[in-house]
Amino acid sequence: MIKKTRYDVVVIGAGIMGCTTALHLAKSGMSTLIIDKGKICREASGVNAGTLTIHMTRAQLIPFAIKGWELWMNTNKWLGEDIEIVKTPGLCLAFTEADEELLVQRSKERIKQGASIKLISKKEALNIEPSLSQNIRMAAFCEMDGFVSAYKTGLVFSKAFNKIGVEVIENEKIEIVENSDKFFVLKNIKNNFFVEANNIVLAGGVWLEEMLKWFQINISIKCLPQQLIVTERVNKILNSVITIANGKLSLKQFLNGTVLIGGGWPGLRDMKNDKFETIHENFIGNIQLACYSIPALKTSRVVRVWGGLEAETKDAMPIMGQIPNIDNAYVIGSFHSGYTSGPYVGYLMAQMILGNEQKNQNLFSLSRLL
Amino acid sequence: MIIQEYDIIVIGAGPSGIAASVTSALNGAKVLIVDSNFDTGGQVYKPPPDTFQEIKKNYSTEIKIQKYHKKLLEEHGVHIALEHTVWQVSKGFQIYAFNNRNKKISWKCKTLIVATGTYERIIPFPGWTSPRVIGLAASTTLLKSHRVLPGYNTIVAGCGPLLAVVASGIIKAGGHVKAVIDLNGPFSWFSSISSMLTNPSSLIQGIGWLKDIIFSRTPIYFNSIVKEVINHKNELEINITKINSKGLINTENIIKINADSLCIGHGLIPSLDILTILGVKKFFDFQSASWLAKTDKYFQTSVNNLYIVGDGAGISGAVPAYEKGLLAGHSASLNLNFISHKYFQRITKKIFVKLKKFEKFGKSMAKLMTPPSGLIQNITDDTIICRCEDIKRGEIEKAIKSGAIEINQLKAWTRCGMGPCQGRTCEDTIARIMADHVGDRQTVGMFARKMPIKPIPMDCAVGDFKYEDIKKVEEAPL
Repeated sequence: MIKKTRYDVVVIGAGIMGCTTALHLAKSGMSTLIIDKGKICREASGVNAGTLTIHMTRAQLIPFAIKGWELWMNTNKWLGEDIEIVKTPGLCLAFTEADEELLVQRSKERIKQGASIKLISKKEALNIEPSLSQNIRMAAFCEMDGFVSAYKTGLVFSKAFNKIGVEVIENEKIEIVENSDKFFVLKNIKNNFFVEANNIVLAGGVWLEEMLKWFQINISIKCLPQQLIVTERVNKILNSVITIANGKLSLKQFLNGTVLIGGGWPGLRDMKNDKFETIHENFIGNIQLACYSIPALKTSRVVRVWGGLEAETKDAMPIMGQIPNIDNAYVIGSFHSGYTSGPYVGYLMAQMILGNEQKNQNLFSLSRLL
Repeated sequence: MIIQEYDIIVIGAGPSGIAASVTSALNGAKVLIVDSNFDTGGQVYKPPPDTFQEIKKNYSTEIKIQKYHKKLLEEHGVHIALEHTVWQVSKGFQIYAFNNRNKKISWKCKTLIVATGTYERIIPFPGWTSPRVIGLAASTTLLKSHRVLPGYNTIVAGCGPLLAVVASGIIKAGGHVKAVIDLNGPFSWFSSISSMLTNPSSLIQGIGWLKDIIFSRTPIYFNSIVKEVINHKNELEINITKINSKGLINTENIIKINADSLCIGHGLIPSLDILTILGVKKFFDFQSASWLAKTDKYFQTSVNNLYIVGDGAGISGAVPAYEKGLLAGHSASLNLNFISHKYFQRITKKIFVKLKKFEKFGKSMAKLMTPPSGLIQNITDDTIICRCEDIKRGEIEKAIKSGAIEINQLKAWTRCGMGPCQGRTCEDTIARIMADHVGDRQTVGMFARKMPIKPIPMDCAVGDFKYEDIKKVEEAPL
């Protein structure tokens, strides 16, 4: 049950972007409601690998990822809650000559954008991470890396929202948004749910395409169903986050001993049941790469494979800002490695709505995609 | 990897799986039956290994049935894949398994019959994860197949017919049962006798179990539960207390008994892992307090050509399980045009009569296996609920208070159910705890099932490979 009939702002989509936006708006004194068609942070923001690596971030988004990383490391300051964060170095590996070339080129691009990455020899890499395969030729090293237990994202935001007074409505799918002159009306007629909002933020991840149609905006947002794999608890074999030159592997060991294997290998999305399906060959390929990088992994067992849905626009760059020609309506999403930059871009979104942010105003504007 | 194709694949070689395979093969289908154990028989007819020569000669009724069933499979040309663990089933019934030598294999079939039975329910109490505390069903495997006693002095506790089976099994094998602790009262046993009368062989068997227990003068504590187990160096201190009809502890009196082992179980839960992965429709059955698959009367699920048979389709015991298997086998054969509609009608009519008769007894036994809902309230906050991840009740309560009212959200917030048992051990308890707050089990839901169905050894999954063999995928954008 909601407490008011009208809110200063209603955020639709309770993932990392929507949640941080809501949090900062509420802190500035706005009455804030966040609505999700499911549970808080149970899609991409709750099921992703939680990798806070710079080695996999798109070069142009590095400044946002760095700011995001810093915020993740200090959640206590802005979220008022601790989330299980582990700060480790990150190693990006090359196994072939072609890999080396790719690694050098990609690292250079990232360094240009402000990442402090340095290239190191096989020997240096093995010193940092003794369980690495002898087959590596070189590696890129970055001090700034680490990971979060992403599945706890919803828990910490729930607690923070309780304290700050952000209202949360779960399991409510908004189906209609009407735009009167002064405010918006959000509805689910079947459930008899109505709420009014002075400002509205769309933060619906892969569902943004559908949501933008409320404002007669038709853009295509691709849904990338990405595979994640976790092992049972094993003895400590990893001290760092491991990635590879082409970006198709991420590996790290959580404090409880489980090893999480990611890298964005595609699975299938069963649209009817909204379920993720594994592609057998991609499961095998992903774990082969993992075992090739860290041979000790071969003695573990795989306990679970699941998927998360990443959203991608036509030019694979994010959307953030006002919805063209609709006053007080905003949209945020489609950030590659969005979990890392989430806390920062959510903050930026809030600042834009509050009128405090000029610099990034048109950087990721929706109008470029129209 | 070699892929073989079959008309019908049956997963699980217990009585229902065997009945389904033999029937389908008899009707002309090419059939494969798969099981992870070293022999056919499932849980009820689980034989000792071949190396136990002396015991095998000394035939029990169960071994005789097991041998007869296996002969049926062989005579009717059913392919048998023993020591194969199924770890993935994808749509279109592509099945992936690995064997005990870590070799991968895959099969494909038109019709899949799941006969994976049940797993054990244990309602936690302080000390339940101590060494020498084992499940009742696990104890039957020790006794029947491994031929090992759980201990020198054993306490048998919990509810349902397995109590009598295990206690009598220990006594027969020369072991000592210090006490039987039954959740139910003597009255609920007597009330089941009327249904036992419909099935004389079960009645004789049941009387046999009770005779063993009574003649050995084993004390039986009715309406009682194990409140706590304290693990001393060589001994377990077992605290017993009385409960009321709702399952709540209603006294401060505690009886302490020392023993070196405790066999405890609170019934069985149908295994729906494969069905859930394949998207089968389910419902919550209040009578057995467990989720069941929606099926037609021939046990075909909401997914075409996918069947669930045996106790997995609802607990009623080994004898009706066989009949359920027969029905599914015939229905699958009909769907694949191996038999005519007329023949199907005629033959299944007879099976239904038998099934109805046998199920009466089984269902009344199953009722004894369903623990009262109040039992959950006795669990203290510092009792471990998820033993893979060491999650205590207090942490679960905290997560519920923070807003986790659905079981998968709770899983994410606490890690309960994320370990190698994949939630099989704790799901029922967690759902019961949550239902106390939320109101009903439907709102709480079930753990989402993901592949692998059983944990798969990494070296087995990756196989022998070189760097060049690894599948090439599009590189991530820069």
